[in-house]
Amino acid sequence: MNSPTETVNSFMQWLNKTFGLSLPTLPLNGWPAAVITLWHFAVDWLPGASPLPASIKVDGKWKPFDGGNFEVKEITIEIRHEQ
Amino acid sequence: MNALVNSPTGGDSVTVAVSGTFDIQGQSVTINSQDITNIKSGINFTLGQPVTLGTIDDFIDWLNKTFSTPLTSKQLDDAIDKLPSSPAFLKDIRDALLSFLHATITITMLSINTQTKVYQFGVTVTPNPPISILGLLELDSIGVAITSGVTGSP
Repeated sequence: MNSPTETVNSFMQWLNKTFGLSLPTLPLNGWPAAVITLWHFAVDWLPGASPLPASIKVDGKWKPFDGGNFEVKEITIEIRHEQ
Repeated sequence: MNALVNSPTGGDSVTVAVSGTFDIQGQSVTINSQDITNIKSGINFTLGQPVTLGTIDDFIDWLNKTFSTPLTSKQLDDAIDKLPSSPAFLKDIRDALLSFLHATITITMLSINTQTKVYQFGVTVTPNPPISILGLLELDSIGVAITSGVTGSP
């Protein structure tokens, strides 16, 4: 189910808190504007969903460069957990 | 979809990456980032696996349309057409260039650096028939590297 309030950024914050990671989170000072834009994209994820899927879908198409027409779609965040 | 254990224990290792696809000449190409835990700025993407496409002519036009590279296949074809067809070695070069432009290509490497805004393509060109130079040299596969940066909106 889509959760309009959850974003790439809030998912990263949750991963950091849950797994003790150091994933980048906003405001991302000094980062490319395109990446900051991606961090605002919505994700198909609900906090507390268990077990966490290994792949989280990011909604929308994204341009990795501020200029140009290069567009990436079907974006996912892949989580690998090894013991 | 695979599930991930949601309760880390001591000694666990968790990595996070971003994947996506882009379309090129009717094909969907997968790119993957590095592990983004602890990265300091920007994300780098690389090609998931080699992709065989159409001709390098088509690829040049895709680069022009997508990244505003300053060259089209027509400009290249026109330049080659202006080459003299005699003596024989010039004809060989002209034919070789035409064969090269209409050969099948495979993208073997792709690197996208969002921080530096630099992208790199590694392409293998397979001319059919192989390119012959003066009957002495035969080229059946040629590697080409394309590196450029994005400077602004087209």
